[in-house]
Amino acid sequence: MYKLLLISKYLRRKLAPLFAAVAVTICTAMVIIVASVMGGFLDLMQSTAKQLTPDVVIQSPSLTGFSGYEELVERLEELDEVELATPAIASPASVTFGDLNFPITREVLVQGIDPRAYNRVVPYDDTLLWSADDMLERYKASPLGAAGGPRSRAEVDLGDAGKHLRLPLLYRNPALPAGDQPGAVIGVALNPVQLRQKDGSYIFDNSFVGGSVTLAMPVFSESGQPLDVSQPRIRVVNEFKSGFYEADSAVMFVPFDWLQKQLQMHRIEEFTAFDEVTGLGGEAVVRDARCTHIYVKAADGVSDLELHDACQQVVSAFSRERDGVLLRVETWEEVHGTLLGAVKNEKGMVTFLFVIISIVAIIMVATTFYMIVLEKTRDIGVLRAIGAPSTGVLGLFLVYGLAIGVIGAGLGVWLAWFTVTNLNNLQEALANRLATLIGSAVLAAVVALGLAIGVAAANRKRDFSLGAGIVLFLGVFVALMAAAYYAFPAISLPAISGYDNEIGWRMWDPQLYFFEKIPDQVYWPEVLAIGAGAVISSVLGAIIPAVIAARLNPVEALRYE
Amino acid sequence: MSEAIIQASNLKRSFHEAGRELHVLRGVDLSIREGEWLSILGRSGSGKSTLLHLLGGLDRPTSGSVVFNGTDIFTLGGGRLDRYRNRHAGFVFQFYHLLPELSALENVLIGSMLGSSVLGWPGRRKAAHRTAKEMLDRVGLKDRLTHRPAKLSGGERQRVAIARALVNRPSVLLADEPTGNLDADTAGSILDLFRKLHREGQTIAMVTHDRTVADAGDRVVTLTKGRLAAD
Repeated sequence: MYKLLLISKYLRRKLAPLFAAVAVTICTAMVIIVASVMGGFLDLMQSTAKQLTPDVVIQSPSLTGFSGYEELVERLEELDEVELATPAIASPASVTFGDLNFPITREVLVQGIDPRAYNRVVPYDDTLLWSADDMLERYKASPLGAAGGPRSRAEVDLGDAGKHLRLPLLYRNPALPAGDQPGAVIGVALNPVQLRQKDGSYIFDNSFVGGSVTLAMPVFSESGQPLDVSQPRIRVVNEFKSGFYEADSAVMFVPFDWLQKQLQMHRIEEFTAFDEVTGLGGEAVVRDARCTHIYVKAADGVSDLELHDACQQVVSAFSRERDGVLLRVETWEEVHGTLLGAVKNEKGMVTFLFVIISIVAIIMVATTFYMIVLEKTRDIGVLRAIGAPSTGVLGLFLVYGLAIGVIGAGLGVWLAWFTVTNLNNLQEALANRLATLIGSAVLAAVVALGLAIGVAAANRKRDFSLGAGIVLFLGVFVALMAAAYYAFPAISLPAISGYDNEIGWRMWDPQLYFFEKIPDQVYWPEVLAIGAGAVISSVLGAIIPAVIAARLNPVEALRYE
Repeated sequence: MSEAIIQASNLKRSFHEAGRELHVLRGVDLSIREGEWLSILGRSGSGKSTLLHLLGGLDRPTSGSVVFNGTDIFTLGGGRLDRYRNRHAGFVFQFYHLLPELSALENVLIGSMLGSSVLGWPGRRKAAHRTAKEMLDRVGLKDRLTHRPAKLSGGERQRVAIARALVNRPSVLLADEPTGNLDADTAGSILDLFRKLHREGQTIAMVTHDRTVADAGDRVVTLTKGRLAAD
């Protein structure tokens, strides 16, 4: 019981444990903040990479693709592990944005998809950037709209333009069936005039919706012989933003059937040329339709790896029947392995660095405790003299270390949680309200200092301690800053806020980076593990000083000067 | 004549210092009888404090024994020797040695707390508080309960130290120069307190270098060159 009494007194009356607890708090918060942001970054990367990449991708390593895909799709869909399989074509191309004053040509990966099926495999519709309302506005501003054409979204049939990869009414040729009029959806960062705004958003007026682009794609026979360069023109009906820069800057979607025809990968029935001299030729030849990819979605409860293995078996059998046609089966993580691996490595490295920092924290706690033991040497002698066992003294300092660890780690977890969940607000404040922030901090510090000095002066006779003064100062300062933080919109300090725009600091520039928000998720299992690590570190740091204290000769301890 | 509650026999204590063996106690035989006030007189460095530490089980002799209630306390294991110090020997030091973070009441209470676990404390708490307050009242400090040592005078601190030593009603009060750090008036009041405690039956063993202080006791023995001589 005496241990608890002494620990509670030591914690309140001494500065050294306060500093030790603050050190533990800062170390804990630092590790949690970095682990959360890096973990969040990895998760965000994984989820955005997953956004447009199916669970499993079966692809030909050749641009020429492979035939017989219809049968392969059927066989895959017979598997219990598969919910859906859909063919696709991916072709490298150049895309020329011709409606601009200066035509711009860029590299692009054209993906031919069946949008309805593709949307069941990945959340394709969710990535479409512009809404039907945006398009309706543009329609109203067009000559057709100004002439008193249809006014409602339903009437103009704009809403599903990107979803079905066909032209909306606005651009459609009334003489042709709607299904024969394809539209393209381009990555938002592929659009050369679409610049990311300061806050990471995009402007519809800069979109290329309604504009036409010209593609140039190499056409190959199935045997790999170059045949032609296909140069179709297609109108852009929407832009997509998955958040994954590699896709947003280099991919455009077009209808599968349309691309298949452009690349002469559709089923072709023709006759060989008739040789008038030999009389040979003129036989009917059928060239099977081809695709380059098959996208597969897992059935409910099936893991990516289970799906991969099931698909691999079917693909291997298919390959054997087709003269060993080469097909690669990859999970979505394997598709993005290089990028995700790099971030995983980075996270591992940062975690390792922070383990080293934690060791420094242990040494710091040990040093602080050693100083406390030196300072308390005579007290230890007194305790031994009045009957405290050496194990009691050992326990006293270990529990003391535990208490500092629990308090430090608890505050560290809170600080980290507060910081991580408010990182974007903090970033906003630093970028746009730095002067106000500094001004508020100075005012809060002055008020808190005044209050602490006032309370200390009023309680001089009751022996007001420096530790209590610091705690009071910090408490009032944090409370005032919190009040200022939440009241920011209402705060108007013209003398200070006039400088906000001049000294703002943006630690995370959404204009440059493809994630416009800083990850702000706290991963509680990780947090609890780090917090427990901090507590254990504190106890470890206290062990050697505690053993020294327990082994002190009580008579020598009493004589210690 | 009452019985001896502590019997020291052929007590020797030497220290190694700077490569030399320093013989501080060279064979001390001493008995402390129940209810007596024994004064041990000696010059500075004569080994008075060492003898007191051995009687209280705070230090171990090079050879010899200290028998309490028929048992040589140096044959006791660590835990039982700790309990001996807690329950049977109450130390009072020249420099008070109070714990500076605790109030006067808490400094006295801590002696009771030492023998109590966290779970056992709630049941003992009230009685322990009552006893601690009684002890502070006995030494004339009932209105200084919440004062920390820094806010007390030297005499008041020594009274708190005496109350702490008495809180577990020890068999013997071991006082090491209890007036050595006090002015004459305050020292007189502390001796008066010792007289009062002695009248109430408290056994006291006090070491001092001051003949006048020593004479306050029932019996005075002198420690010279590591050996005792009766006056």
